Amino acid sequence: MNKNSITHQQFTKIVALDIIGVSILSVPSIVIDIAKQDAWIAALLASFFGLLLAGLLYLFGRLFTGQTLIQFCQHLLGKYLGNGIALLYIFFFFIGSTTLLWDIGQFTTSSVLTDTPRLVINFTYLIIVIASVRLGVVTIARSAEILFLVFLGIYVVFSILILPQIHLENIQPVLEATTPALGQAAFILLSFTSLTLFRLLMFYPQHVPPGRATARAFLVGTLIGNGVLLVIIVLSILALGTQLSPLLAYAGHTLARVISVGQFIERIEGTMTTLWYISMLIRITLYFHCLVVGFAQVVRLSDFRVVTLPLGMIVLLFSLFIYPDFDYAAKWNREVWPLYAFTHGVLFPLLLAIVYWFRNSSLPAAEQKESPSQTS
Amino acid sequence: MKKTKIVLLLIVILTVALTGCWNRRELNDLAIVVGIGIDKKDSHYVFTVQVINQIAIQSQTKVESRAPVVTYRIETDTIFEGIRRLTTVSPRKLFFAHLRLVVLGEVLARQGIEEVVDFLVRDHEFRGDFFFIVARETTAAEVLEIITPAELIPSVSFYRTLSTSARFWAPTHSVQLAPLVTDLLTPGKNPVITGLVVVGNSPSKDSTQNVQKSAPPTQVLLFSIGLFHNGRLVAWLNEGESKGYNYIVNKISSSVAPIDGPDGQNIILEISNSTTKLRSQNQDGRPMIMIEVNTEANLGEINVPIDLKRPGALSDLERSLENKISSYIFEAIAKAKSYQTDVFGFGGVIHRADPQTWKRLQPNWDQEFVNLPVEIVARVKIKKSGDIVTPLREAIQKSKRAQ
Amino acid sequence: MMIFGIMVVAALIVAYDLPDIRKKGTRKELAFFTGLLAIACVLSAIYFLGLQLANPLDWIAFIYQPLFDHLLRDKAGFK
Repeated sequence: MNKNSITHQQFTKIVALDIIGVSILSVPSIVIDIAKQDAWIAALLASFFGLLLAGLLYLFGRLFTGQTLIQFCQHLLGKYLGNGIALLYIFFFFIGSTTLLWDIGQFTTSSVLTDTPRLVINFTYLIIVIASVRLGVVTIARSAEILFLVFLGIYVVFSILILPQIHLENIQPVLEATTPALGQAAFILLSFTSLTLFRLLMFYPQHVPPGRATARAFLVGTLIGNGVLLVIIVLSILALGTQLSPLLAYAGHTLARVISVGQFIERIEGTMTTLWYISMLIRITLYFHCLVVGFAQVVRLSDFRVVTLPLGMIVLLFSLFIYPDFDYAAKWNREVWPLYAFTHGVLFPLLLAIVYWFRNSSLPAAEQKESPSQTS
Repeated sequence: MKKTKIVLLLIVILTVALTGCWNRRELNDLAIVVGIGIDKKDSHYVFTVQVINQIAIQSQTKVESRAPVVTYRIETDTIFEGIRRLTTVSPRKLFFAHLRLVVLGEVLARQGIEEVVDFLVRDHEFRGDFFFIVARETTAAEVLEIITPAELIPSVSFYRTLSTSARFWAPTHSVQLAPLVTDLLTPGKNPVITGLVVVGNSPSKDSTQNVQKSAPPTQVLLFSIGLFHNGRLVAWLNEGESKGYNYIVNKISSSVAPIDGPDGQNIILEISNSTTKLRSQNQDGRPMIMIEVNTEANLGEINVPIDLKRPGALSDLERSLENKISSYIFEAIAKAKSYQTDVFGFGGVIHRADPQTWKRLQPNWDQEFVNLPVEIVARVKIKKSGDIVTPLREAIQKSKRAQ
Repeated sequence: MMIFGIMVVAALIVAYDLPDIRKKGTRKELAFFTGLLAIACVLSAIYFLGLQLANPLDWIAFIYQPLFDHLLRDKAGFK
């Protein structure tokens, strides 16, 4: 096994876990609130666009020839504009890291360890994140491979145990939601899944050799991730209903609470929380990886590890108050974040691809065949 | 190596943090709450909390003279304040994860239960697997202070009674938190909660003396179903209507049904299986609800001379049980209609079958419900006639005549 | 108390990373390491002294909120 490369299986699992990430925890309530019993249709829509996006990202990544997204910006747009865009990206990574860490703290203090200070929880979790980032992408990929198995095991058990609690009539009538509602629900879902997948461009072109298998890893990972989400959303609708789910901060956690098989297997929500800590870990780790590596590349440090601890300290600090309260977070996730993620996940890459195309069209094109990435 | 030392230090610090020291609740510091009673008196809330008395129920050193539970009572202006204040009356920290029963006083239930439910959903310590009960014509405090015979812990006793009787006896209906919230919120459905009455109000009901007799002077009976409208208790169903309600919402799994025999005497049929299907049909642009009950029954107790070998005898019984069930259902609907509260979820049925019509009806559903035509079809099949075909009493008479 | 905590954390970070940076790294890396650490400490101190730190989400919302309000909510019918 090559020491510096990520296998395609590992890459598939990174994509899947990253997509599942935070969306398995708090997003079902938002989506069900908007699209009611048709939320699963929104999830299908989101999967479709997610697949499209994954394909485009793969093609886009091939333009980099071994660079990261940040280096590509610098290379393509020159010192000032390139670094400008790069800084916007770094700011995005910073926001992503801090808000997700806040989510970890919020979930833990409201549902699991209520009296523990948020600082301690965030600190503990961040230590793991920093440690994995310092060990490098290849280590993250390998841990993703193991964690994915654990995740899948708990997830399958969870989904099966919830089955006795479902009420099929909860999903009727089908197709009642209006088109804007479906669109919005799908957009929000996408913003937590595939719209942030572009972070993989911070290491995928370097560590995963391009080719059919990588493209497949992108698509299969997206499918798995979206499938897991779809099932959670459907189970929330069926077991909790469209009236109760939107009221809950963490529908998935409440879902685990209603598990009761023969009054014997119950009260297992504590075990189930492992699910969220695993899926969040890969997501936060990727964010933080992008943050420090991107920062190091903008200021051209030879080793990104130098800034991990100081930046980690800043992330930890901001994670304590990045959302003043839960209502702010709910409004932000619904109204601002989707657009913000769209800007960085679709708009900027599209602009970069167009610039690339204009620059290269004047040259004798060795890589003209990559150009479809911006046309579709 | 310096780095290793720092990592070791970190591990030590984290070990301390990760044991959950901030949240540790030692078992012997906890007061396990099994029942909460909430009453409203004027503008105050009266809280009663039933806590397991660990000393009294330890199996080795059982102290017979002590009551198995302790109740604490407190009056406050808000519900949250009540729960907080309760920690000051109990020497141990109250622990709610094993809560079995929430008893609502009738006065509170009539004024509205939204606040209570909101609090129970919001606080993470409540797991939502407890039952709701309304203390009919009494206060929740009265109910929770009764010491029950068969189970040591009264709340557990009520919980068991409720879950058993919902299975074997038709007129009760067990309601947990999630369905209650869903019913409260869903347009086209109103919740119900089973009511509980106290029988034989003896002065010793709150002491262990109450259980020293085989027939305890004070007992608690699960009674009928209380109808709610927008979170307010509006009416009680009687026993027959309660059965009707359970037939409609398909919650009958087994029960007994007395029907009138040929000369006015009772024949008891045991219902072994019953399923109900609700459908909505459009009748000249107006929706109509079809209730289709399919019931299987066994012969239970026969007090009349009736020869079951006679052809048509069983089908006569089947017809009369069908009429009985239809009339239960009819009465239940009539009662609900007179209070304009759709506790059966007919609105939901129309919503699922015909979203367009529902959109038109929904704003004025309470009125529409009153005018909603309902058709009841009951089908009864008597499967087993018990082990004997001819009632014992008749057989005895026959054999005596023969001698 | 918290200020003391910040100092301890900063000291630990310095003890953990500084020797390596001095041995292998350039002046630039040293500068960024100490610079960022100093910023982190100052910000933490400000926060734990009870002063308000600017919330970066407000800046982003400043740009995107009107976009949502006028485009997505009013035109596209989002809720």
